[in-house]
Amino acid sequence: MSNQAANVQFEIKPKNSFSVGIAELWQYRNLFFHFVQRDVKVRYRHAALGFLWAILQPVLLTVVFTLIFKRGFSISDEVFPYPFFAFNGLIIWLLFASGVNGSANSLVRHSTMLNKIYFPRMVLPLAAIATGLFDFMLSWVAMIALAFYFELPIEPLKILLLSVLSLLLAILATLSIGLVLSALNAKYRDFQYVLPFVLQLLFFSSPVFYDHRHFEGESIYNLLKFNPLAGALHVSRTAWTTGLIDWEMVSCSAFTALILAMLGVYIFRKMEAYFGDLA
Amino acid sequence: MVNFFNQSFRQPGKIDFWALQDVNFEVYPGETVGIIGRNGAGKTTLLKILSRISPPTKGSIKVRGRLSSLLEVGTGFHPELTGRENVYLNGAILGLTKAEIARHFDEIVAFSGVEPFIDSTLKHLSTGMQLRLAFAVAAHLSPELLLIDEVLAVGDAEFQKKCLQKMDEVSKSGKTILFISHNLQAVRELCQRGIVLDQGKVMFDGLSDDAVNFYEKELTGALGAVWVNDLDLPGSKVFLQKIEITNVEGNLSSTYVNSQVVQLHFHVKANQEISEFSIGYDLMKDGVTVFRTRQLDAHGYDQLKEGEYVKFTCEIPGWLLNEGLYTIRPDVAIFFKERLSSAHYDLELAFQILHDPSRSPYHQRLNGQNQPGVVFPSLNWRHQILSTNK
Repeated sequence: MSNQAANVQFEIKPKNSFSVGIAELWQYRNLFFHFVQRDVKVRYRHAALGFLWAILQPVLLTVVFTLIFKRGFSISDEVFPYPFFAFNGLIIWLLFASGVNGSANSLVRHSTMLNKIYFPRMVLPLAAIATGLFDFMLSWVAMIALAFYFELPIEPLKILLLSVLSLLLAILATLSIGLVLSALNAKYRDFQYVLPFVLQLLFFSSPVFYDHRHFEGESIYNLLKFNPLAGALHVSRTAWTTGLIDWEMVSCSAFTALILAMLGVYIFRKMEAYFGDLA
Repeated sequence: MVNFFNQSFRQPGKIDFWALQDVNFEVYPGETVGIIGRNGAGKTTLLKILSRISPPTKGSIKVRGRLSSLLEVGTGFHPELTGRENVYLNGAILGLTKAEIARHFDEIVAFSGVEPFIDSTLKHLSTGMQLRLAFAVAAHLSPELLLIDEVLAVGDAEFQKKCLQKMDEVSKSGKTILFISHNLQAVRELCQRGIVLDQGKVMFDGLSDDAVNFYEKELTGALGAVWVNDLDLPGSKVFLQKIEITNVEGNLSSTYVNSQVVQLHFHVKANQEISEFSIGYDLMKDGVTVFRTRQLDAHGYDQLKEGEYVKFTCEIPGWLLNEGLYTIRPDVAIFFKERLSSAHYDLELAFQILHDPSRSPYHQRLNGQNQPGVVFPSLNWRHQILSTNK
């Protein structure tokens, strides 16, 4: 950057045209990685159990879910032991929840920085979402161990492809809710009270501990399939079964996520100019 | 180069308020420009727009070269990371690549003087060390354009000195500096050019000395011999009604030579009985407190009866103050219990001191040049010949 610095010419202008600002985000990728690195380091530096926490959280939740929900939402056990089913859903859910939480608070958390330094603001929620990926990778490896334990049929290529697809869908869903909430939370602090409620609502309306097919044919199913996270959860599960992907459901879910993500980017870009005035 | 064109900014709110309007100026490479103005003149808005924290409503600024600002010192430091990690993180926040930081890393650490602790967690470093490390990163950014806010107001004397030195160094190396400050003395010393802002407009643009003079003469506006308070807050215990500045003969004036005695008269009205009444003022020059005084320092008249009008007079002796503009900040209180003057005595009353050339034969030779120093007291000098060579 410095060798071209002498030629850097930029113009500070009123904001009137809308742009996503991808070129500028790319320019600041270094900062993005530093934020992710910092948050991962800080999170585990003083944790006695270290990276185990990333796995412990979904494991403990899985135990609880298995004990409680197994009865009510039994899925075809011959394909899937319930603990594996729950673990599979939970790690996606935790990635989503930590991403939404982190990005919603990212601007408020860095308000002193927003008051003093210019950089594309979207780096902050994006980095917050990416921080969760680290935990996800660890627990994903743990899930493979679990698959071996339950002696599930393993098709490496299918698992890899569908896992990547489900991860992309999950990231899109996280972005969609995370960006909207981060911008709104910076302006209206009420959203810090709304956030836990929204997450809880989404948790129960997402097929994390139940299978969406339970509701197939019921009128509520038409609503459930538009849940932005439902697609990611479904694809992630299908990776470990012989079943086929319900593309209609996945595209409905991805559609919502995409619309919300675009809305999120739009709201964020519209509001970001005034983040510096907020703190 | 920075090129301002018709720059305006609207603060968010119900009524339109233009914090800056019709501000047009250009800054060329290697210039050191001081921007001065009263509170609310638009300095901070200008800084925020320049550092791209708030966007302008209208107009544009063209910038050639990398711009960074010293108000960023230490922003983004994380207490749980080590000094080394923080240097890299801070560099990234300020827009440097990893390679650039790596190249300057040793210099940065050497400049900060915290070498032995560079791999300790930041929270285990003293505040002074953290500040030095932060400043070292900022100082090695080598931007083409440096924005400096009131950084000089924070930190200890040593840190301030380092800041000033670095500024001087930066400007000598052909970089451009915009220095936004209340500290008129620093603007005079560090900048070649000065821009005076008032009510969002450029009032003066020229040599820094002239700009400071213009600011002192035209904009402090408070230069006057009388200040009358027309706002008697109901329910206030004491009401500061009037302040007058006179010479020993009792004639009102706002300009004195430094051989003269200056008398300040404070008229107060007690709305109820008060004991331990305290009245005093801070004498300010260029944003620095010259002294603080109150009537209790001299004599103990501190009982006011209800409905009483009392005039307190303070005499500033001759041969004490240096040339310049002095501002009075009154303070009315019940001693160490309650300030009675916080809101409604937000005034700026100022008087001017000129040199009395009769002080000494040498003094005449100063011939209009500034005698440095906040005060210019008449001190005793003796001499004693200890030996001769014969």
